[in-house]
Amino acid sequence: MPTSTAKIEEIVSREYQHGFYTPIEEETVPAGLNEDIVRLISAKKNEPQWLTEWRLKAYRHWLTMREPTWQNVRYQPIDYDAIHYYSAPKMKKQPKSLDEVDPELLRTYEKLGIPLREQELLAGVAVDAVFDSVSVATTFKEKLAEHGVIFCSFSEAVQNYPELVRRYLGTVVPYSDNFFAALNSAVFSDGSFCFVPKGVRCPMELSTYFRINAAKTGQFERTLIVAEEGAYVSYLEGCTAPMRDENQLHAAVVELIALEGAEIKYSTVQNWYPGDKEGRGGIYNFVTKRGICLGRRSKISWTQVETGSAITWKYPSVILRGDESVGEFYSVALTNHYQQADTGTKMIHLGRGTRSTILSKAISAGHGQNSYRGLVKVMRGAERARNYTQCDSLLIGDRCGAHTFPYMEVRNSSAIVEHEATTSKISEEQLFYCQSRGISLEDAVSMIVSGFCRQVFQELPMEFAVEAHKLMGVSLEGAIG
Amino acid sequence: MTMAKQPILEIRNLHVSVNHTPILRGIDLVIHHGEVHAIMGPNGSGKSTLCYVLAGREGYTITEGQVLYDGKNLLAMSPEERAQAGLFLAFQYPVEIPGVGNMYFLRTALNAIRKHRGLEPIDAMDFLQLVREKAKLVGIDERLLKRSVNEGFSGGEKKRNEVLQMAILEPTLAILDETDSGLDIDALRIVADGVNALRNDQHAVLAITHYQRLLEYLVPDYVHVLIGGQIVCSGGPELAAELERRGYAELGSQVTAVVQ
Amino acid sequence: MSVRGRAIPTPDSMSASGFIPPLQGFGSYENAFGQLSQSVPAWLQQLRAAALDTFRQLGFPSQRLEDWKYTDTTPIAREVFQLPRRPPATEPRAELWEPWVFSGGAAMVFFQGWPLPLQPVAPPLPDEVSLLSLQDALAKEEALVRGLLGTSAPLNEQSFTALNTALLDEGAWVRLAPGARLATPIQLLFVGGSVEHPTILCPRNFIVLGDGAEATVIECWIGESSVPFLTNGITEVVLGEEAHLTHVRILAEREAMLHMGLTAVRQSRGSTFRSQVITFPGQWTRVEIHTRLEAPAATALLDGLFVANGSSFVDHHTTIDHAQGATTSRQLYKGVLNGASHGVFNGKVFVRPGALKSDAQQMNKNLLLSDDAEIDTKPQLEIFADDVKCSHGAAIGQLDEEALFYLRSRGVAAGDARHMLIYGFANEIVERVPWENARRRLRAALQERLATAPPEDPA
Repeated sequence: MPTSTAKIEEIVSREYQHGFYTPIEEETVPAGLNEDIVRLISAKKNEPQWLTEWRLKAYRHWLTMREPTWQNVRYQPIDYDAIHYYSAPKMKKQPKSLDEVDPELLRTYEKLGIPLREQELLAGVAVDAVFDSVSVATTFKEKLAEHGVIFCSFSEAVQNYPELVRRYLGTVVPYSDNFFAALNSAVFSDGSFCFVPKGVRCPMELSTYFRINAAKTGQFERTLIVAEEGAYVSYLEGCTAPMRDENQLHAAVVELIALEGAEIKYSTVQNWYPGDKEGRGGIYNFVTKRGICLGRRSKISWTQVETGSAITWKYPSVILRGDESVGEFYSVALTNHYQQADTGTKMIHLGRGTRSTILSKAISAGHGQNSYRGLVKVMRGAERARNYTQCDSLLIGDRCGAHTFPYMEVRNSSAIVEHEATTSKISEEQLFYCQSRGISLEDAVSMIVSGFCRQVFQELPMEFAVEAHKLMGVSLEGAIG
Repeated sequence: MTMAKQPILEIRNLHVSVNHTPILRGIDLVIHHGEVHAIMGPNGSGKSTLCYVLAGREGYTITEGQVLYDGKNLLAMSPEERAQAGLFLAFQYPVEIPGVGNMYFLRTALNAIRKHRGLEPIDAMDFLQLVREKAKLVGIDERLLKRSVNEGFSGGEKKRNEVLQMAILEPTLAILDETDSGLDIDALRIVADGVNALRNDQHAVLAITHYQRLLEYLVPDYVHVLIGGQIVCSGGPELAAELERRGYAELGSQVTAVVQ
Repeated sequence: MSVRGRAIPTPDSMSASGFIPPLQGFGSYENAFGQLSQSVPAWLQQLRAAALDTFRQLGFPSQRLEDWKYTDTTPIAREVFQLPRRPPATEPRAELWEPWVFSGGAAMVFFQGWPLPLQPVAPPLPDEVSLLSLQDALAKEEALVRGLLGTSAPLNEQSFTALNTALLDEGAWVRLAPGARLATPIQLLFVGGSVEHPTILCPRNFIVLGDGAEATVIECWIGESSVPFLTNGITEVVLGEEAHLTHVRILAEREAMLHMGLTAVRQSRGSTFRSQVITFPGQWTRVEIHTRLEAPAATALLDGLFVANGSSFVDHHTTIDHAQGATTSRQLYKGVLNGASHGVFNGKVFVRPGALKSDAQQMNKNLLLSDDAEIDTKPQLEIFADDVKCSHGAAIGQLDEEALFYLRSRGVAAGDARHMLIYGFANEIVERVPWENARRRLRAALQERLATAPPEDPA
């Protein structure tokens, strides 16, 4: 093995930086799942009857389902009875302002680089922070309200805007959609809700930070974003968790709805704890994300940077129902050590003149296994539908794997669907060139990997792009050998 | 004969946009049978747009003006009707068509045009002979003819293939879209010879070029300078030499000054 | 619970579930097994029996299996098949098959899987070449047959392979001794159809090239039938070091012809397997090629084309297994679908751990000519080594607008230009077949299936 390759692997293994645990008093329901637990969660949230019923229907349906096995990842069976389905920081009452939030919690977010207090540092970004299962703080609410934008925790939305929630919840991802979506529908505890009314361009980026803290809990949040006619919103989510030896399940559902002429841009920087170098611990990130372009000329764009989690398994998708609607998926997925990822997207073309673009960059290092799986489906009525897909894989070291599984199903003769994929290793020539110009090997690798991901990073809002670049450097540490 | 008075091509105040961006902004040009016109201009001046509009490619919006070909409305004709009526565009970047044999392609084209002229389809043996003769003239290796259309041809071979097609189809108006670009001096001479062989009082040529080089071999009757989608000046062959000496920039600024 | 790497999947790893039994039960298959000639060596009879057991355990693959996601085996599973009579009750009409004997070299013609006692007018083959029926090969070269049978297409959890092995009786045996070189193609012609009952046929062919041998083998599978006629054929190919095989597989079937075909190849160091698969399907067709590049410098060059009309189903499957490094593969597969036909392409490229400097390229292009037609395509890369060059591409779409304009600007009417481009799209694969007589026959078939004006080539 050339020395540079050995070095490259060495560089790619630094410790996870967000692995601390916050000692805070939490209220946790007993482990295991049954109808009583579902009712208990619903009662704790003071939910209306219809929502309790909906959860129970989801739970009963879940009981009839089997955990899927088709994905290209391997993991020990999950014991669903060992999981605590609800855990929340103990608070006397729902905080009215940041002053009422437990200072320990605020410190946690500051440690993560998300100072909820020092809003000027995040100028122009409204933040909703979700700690274990509940939302602890949402900033900039008033300013957003001036524009008619609703941005709050899901629980608050259920209390304050029950009609909106009822109209849209489960319309994109029904509770029966898949095993993990059914589980989420039964036990989801919080998440973010965003509603941008007709003609409004949301004046700032909206952001949610998810944090798993308690041990042996699952995190099941639910996000619902609705953009009415001509509205625009850019939404970001970030995720971290403490280092633990056991695996923790994160099964979220995200639903996006874009009406005529609306645009939703959804960006994720996922940095859940990936497990240690030996593959112990880490988050199972089994998430259902789907948007629907309901109206003409609407647009949904997913951008994801997936560097964390022991297993990442998600396919942020777009149903292109409105004529001339647009779906986009930009993804960087990095697997190092024993991480596994099976991720991609589904673009379902129903409307005329619908267009979709898929750009996936997968990096495998260590023993990481990285699969792109994507479906492009053009239904019969989708005249002149267009798709372009590009999937590139980069391998660092000879013990990792890169896999590409594109599915193209076309039933319209005027459609054009194109797919291109390449797999290569980090080029010795490029490394040498950088080094001969005085750049350290570590910087060279990071530079080349960042270059490889550039097209995707460009799609991220500025603050996240910077963070994503940093994350790539950190996540790759120890991969260079 | 009054026929000779009728121009083969008459462009009147032609305005063309691509995706709402105006590219041609009022072109006037009249070409008679037997004339050779050259249009010169810098990159981005609208030269290729003009060629494609004349040949009938989609994607161009005519916002104003008209084009008469042999007295008929050219813009209302399909690309194949234009070709059958004797208009020929030598492409700047000829398209590769895998799986379609060069000979088959040429014969289909020739027969379509012959049919339009009221002639019988050409006999296979006569066709073979015709192609061999013309191929020799433009210096094309016969083996290239057995391949698919333009597939795997070098840049120069593609350009010669365009000239070969022109020689066989004998157009009334041949439009050369930068046929000289990327050619070495020998190839250039062959292309020019091919065009010159076509030159008589029945045929006309419109040569679009960036450089004056081609015009040394293909002496035009008229030279027009296209800048910013407009013909800024016209003259005889001497204009080409002057351009070569002074460059478009100087001429452009001079013209802009005049316009202002 | 910790996650420690994972098992590396094998190309043919299948989960135990995902199979469906024959809808009318296994009885007809057991009957067919009982009717087979017992005058074969005991080891073969045992192998057949073991294969029948495997098939009885599996049944037919269902669409729950990833490899069969787009392929519905119900049209096969619902039939009650019989074996054809031995020898066949009738003779095939000469005008049906004679046009397909075109190489001028040695040929074997099988009717309903039974070798016809024709003496092809061809120069005799040199001594170092065996061209025999499988039964003759068992009589003359039994040890060789025994040593090779099932090595390229192992009896595993592939149900169609199990079924073929269970009902194996005849086929072609082509063997070239080391260094033997044939300038003229050998033709293997399989004529199916002309039966009164739903019929199943399980031919097994062998193409074995010793070190340094070179040959072209053209397989043609033709036939038409008003009752279901299933060919479940396997060709096992073994290539010695520096052996070069060109294998052309033409399928021109119609009506109720059902066809499951597998070409399974093992390649030694420096060998080349050049394959053209051209399929004009009947009711239901799946053609698979599996090749294992077992040693460095082995090369697989695979081209494919299907042209489907009516309500045909056609599926081209490839698996290229870069088991060793410094191996090369190239694939260009195309499909043209008209009417209410349904086409599938699934191309898998594996690069095994340590198979460094593997170089794999795959391209799949499809034309849909009707809104009632459907194409499902799934190019697939599974890479377990870092120093590799792998790429794949797939395109489904319309004709090239640039090319269409180019043709029209030369005076060709829009409709003709379209036909010309469709023909050209398909013909690109035909032109790769390295034998002019075969190309000529294929061009005619192409024109017929595309129903375009015959583009004769004056050159």
